[in-house]
Amino acid sequence: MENLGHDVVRVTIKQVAQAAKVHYSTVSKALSGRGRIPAATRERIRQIAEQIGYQPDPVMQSLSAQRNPGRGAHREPRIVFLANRWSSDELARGAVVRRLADGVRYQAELMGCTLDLLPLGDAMIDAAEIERQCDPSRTDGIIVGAVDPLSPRLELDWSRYAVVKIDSAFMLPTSTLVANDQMQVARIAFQNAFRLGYRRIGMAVGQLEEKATQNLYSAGCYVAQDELALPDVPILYLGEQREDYPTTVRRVADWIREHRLQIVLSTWASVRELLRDCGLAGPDDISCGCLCLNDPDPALAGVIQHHFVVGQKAAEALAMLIMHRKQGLATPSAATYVGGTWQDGVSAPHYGAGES
Amino acid sequence: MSCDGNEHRRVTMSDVALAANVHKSTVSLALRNQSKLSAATRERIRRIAEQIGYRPDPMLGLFNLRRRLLAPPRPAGGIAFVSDLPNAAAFARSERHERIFSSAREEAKRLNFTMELFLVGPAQLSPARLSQVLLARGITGILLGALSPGTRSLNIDWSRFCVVGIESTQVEPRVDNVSTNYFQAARLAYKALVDDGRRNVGFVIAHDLGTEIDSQLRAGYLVEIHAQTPSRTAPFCRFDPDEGGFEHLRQWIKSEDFDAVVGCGVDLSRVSAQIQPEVAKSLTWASIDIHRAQTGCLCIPPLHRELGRRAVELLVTRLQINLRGVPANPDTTLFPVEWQDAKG
Repeated sequence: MENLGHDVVRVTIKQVAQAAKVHYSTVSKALSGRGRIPAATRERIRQIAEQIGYQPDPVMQSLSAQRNPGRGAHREPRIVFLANRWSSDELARGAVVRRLADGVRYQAELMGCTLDLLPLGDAMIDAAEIERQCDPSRTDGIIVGAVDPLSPRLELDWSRYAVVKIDSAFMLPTSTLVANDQMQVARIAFQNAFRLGYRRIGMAVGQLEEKATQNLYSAGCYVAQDELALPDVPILYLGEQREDYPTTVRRVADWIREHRLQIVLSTWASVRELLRDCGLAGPDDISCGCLCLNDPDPALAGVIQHHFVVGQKAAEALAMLIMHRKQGLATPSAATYVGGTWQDGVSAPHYGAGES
Repeated sequence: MSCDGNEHRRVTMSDVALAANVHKSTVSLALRNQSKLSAATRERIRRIAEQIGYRPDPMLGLFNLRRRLLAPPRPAGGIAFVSDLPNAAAFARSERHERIFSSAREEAKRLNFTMELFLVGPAQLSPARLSQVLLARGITGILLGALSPGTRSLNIDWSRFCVVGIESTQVEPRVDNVSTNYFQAARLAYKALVDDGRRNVGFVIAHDLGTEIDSQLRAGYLVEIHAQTPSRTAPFCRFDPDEGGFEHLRQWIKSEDFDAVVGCGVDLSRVSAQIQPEVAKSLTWASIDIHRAQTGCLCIPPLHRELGRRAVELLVTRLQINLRGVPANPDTTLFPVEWQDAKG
């Protein structure tokens, strides 16, 4: 569990008052800068407050900011969402990152935090700009959003923030993690293919996804093969060493033939096009399912991953850390996983149904 | 929220009071499910609050929690720790349950909640009776305290409660759970042994861990086996001491020619004592412990205290924003384990 949170007995302004031998309302005036008190007293109280470690409580500050707007420079807890490969193009296509960001925003607002998005993929952003945007004096928490293994390394003084990562389990820093449960995703895909009558089931996973999830897809496949007593079809990794597309197509076609596959489950959203390019045109030749659908698609069977929910849970986890004033990287770091939902589709009919 | 009079005015308790034609203190009592009011009144006011879109102010909830951390006034609420062990003596004997419970209670106390143990089962409370008792006493938080694999559902109206499970993912409908990361534990044990020069590592899994923990352990083992030697099929053995388990295990160890064996939820000292000494000695024994806190061999100790603490933290956060019922997309929070050498 996060080891930073167990001595959260806060220093209050009453303790500052005791140490300074003044009434606590005087401390309030001195520290808020709002009351009329001699400058020397103010300075003395400020010094004492600093010595005994008084820090204003961000939750109370944000509460008073909400209830008394326009009164002073109080602010709501601020969360920065570092998003991977952001572009207006991806936004328009409804890419994963937008759903994550929507979920984060929804929950952050519900929990009274403000949210800023920082696109790491933008060419204008460099390390200095990230540091400036995440200025610890006005940033309470950071969500590292689904950064993939090809992204540049992030160098921040993590000890100054509460930190939650979305997916990105493989990368530093080690922090509280919220992710899609890709082991469950792969497992329920196999279970549903089995329910539909398939026995020779192959899984083709992007090398990048496999690495980013620390082998969760493979784990789901192995455990499903084992529990359903399926033939040991090896997993095919796509995009290895950035091979060219014709090579991939050839490898997939060979793999399907060698193992006489009835259905291919893949992390590639374009799995149907891939099979078509292998010369296998539709459910009559071979069935397929996608392991990372964003929406129900009647044409394409597969597993919907709930990115919006993942975003929500990440914001909740971060608000919890901020609330319990746990800064820095949590050790040991817990990981929260959200499961996916299987969806039938034309691309995977009941096995044998097409032949009658 | 009183900050602006225009489009974003929050629905407050006063609005609910007006609509329900009661005083706002009555609304407050009803929404906190206090037994001072009749169940019917509580229900009526809750329905009206829902209709007109009342939601507790999350920032006020956080504020109240922070206040409680500073200066504990009266208890903020009660949490029921639900177990399905047959009786109090069995509960006290189970190190796993006892440790989860005591750490959860400590954390509850820190957050100024009270926690009580409730036993459900044939000789104890029925789940229906339990929910009556909890509602009557105004307890809205429930922890499912490591329920047995055989308990697959509880007849409770979840919409009335905030609930978090501790290693109880088998219970339907699924609720948010906290659990040890058994997948990572199996990978860690395997890797540690291979790094230490073992070539052939077998896994013995207790037969009564339940399908969830069992498949997490197997998944971790299978991923590592495939990474090492892709061609090998992975053997593991389920161990049931009452069903000729020792003999089965002896045969298995002999036939597979292991140089290391990892026990998951298995008392290895009993196992190695039953095996020919020269075989037992030639093997490295390691344990992923699930029930107890220590063993004599290489070991991954369980995380009972972390689980209890985290479950309460999560439950209290949810209670603050009055988030009741079963989630549409349940999640599981997994805690990573650490490898411990024999001396530890």
